Amino acid sequence: MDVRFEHVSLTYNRGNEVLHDIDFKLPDGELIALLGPSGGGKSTILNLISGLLQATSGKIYFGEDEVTKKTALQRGVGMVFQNYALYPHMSVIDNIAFPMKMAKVDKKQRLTKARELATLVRVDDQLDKFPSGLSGGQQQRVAIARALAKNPSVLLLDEPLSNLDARLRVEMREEIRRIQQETGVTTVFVTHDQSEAMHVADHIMLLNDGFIQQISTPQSLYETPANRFVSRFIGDPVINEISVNELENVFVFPDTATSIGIRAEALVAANGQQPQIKVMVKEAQLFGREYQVRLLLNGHELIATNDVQLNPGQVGMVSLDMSGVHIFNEQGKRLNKEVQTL
Amino acid sequence: MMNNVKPTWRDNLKALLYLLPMLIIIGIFNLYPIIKSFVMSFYTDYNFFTNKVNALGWDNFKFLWEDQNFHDAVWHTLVFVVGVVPIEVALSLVIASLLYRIKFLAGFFRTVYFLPFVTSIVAISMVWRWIYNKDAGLLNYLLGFIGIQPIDWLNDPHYAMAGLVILAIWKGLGFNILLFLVGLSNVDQHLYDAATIDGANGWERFKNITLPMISPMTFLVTVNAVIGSFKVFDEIFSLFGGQPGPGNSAMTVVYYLYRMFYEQNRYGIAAASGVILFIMILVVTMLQTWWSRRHVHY
Repeated sequence: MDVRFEHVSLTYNRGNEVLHDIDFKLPDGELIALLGPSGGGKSTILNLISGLLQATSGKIYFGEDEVTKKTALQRGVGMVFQNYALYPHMSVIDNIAFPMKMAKVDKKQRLTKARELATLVRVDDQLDKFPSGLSGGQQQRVAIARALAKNPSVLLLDEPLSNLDARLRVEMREEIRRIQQETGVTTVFVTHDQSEAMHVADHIMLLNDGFIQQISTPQSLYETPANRFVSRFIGDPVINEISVNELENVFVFPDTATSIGIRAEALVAANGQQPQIKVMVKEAQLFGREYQVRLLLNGHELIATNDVQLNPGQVGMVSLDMSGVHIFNEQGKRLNKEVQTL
Repeated sequence: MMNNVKPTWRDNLKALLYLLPMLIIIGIFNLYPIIKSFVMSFYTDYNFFTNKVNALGWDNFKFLWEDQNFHDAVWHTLVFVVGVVPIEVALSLVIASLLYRIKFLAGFFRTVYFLPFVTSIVAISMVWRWIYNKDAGLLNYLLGFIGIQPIDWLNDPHYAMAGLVILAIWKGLGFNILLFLVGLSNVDQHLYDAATIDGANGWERFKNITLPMISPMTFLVTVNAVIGSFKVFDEIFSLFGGQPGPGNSAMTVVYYLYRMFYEQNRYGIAAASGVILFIMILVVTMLQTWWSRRHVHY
């Protein structure tokens, strides 16, 4: 089911508005990431979708139904909490079957369904254990199965991977992707880790300070960031930023341009076809398969991940791949189309 | 590194030295009296003042086995325990759940409910003697509104135990409510959110989340209330003015023990009734512990 917000705002009792006039539509059957720094409003949006929080103004739709005033139960959402919130006194199978028990589903039927779900999330060999006897990843799987148990309209995951160690995080994000694709349920998950969102989401909504910065596919978020914040938040290493003054001899900028962002991989060995800048190589480092070169442009450090064919200490030219170069005005808006090369 | 070293005799001796002051106090005031009263229950001919034991045997227990007064005392104690404990535990849980929900004046209500616990039982009994008064009492006045004839709570053997039970329940509420409030505040709020989303209504959340999650506290409160009720004495003494109720209708095991020891100076029999009480409490507590293995979720 698609989820639509129309002019939704949320003000807490103390008077501070945490969401400002939010408008968006999450497409049906997709895996959508709500991404942003803490305090950006992503968990707030998740709770507004779930119905655990009520919007101060605006309307929320699930498909054609307006659900603004409906409770979490009436909306029929499934939710996985950050700490999983598994019922510690119930076995795995009872945890998964609990929503169906509440819905008065016949016992035999609900146990059959619970077993199917356990197989889907691959905890079918743990059915009689209690949550305290499971690993973090297994608890996560049980929580997802429980959330799926009532055929939710939307599946919501609040920071689902934050309690797992790095390796398990990679494994579980693939699992979430697989389970989402097998069930086809519209899934929204909150994360502050851009690489997590980039790896699994169909669409990413990037939030900051209670405003939507951009909604798009991971790749276009990376390639055509709407503003400076998006370009900074997405990508590792962080985009190189310098003032336009440093490159006035290379480009003709629009009058309003103030800063320029250059992706690390957009700094390539001089090739004569693309615009060139003159840099000094400070140092080059290898981390496993990762390669990083620190370049100095008039004293400003730039990080490149390609081999620029210059040795440390050497001064020389590198080329700029323009698809990874973004120009921003003072407000941070991106102005790329208006740039010309000298 | 220190933890891997096997303690030497010297270390053990040193540790014992640190523990010694407390061990001596416990030994004199706890262990010795317990052992002494067990031993004393076998004294059949004993001079308390010269501490001279002339004869030992099972006679004290035989006497209790045949004494109708003791049978009544055991029966009254059981009635009291069964009358007080379930209502006290259930009522404190209900009130604690309600108190936990209201934020407004919560502190005020907590204080009000806690007052009985910190007030002297003698002062409390004075008030309740007035409440239970046949002609001028508040309780009969209120019951009059629903058409119930005045009851002589304190002097009618049929109602004295009921009056005692009501007083005991009321007195125990405050502390148990406090314990339950602690238990309730330790339940993870996310479990309630999860249960709400899973479709559980208020009652189902209480049944499926609250009750199992606070079961360790319920167990503690119940065991505590059972033991406390088996040992009831001061409420009786002060409510009925130094008598075990009209016509011994509120004579409990501890009151029987008190009577044998202080009023009739039959020390062996008093000690033997204490041993019987000990065994009763032991059996009930063991039953509760056995039951809790299956129903309490830690």
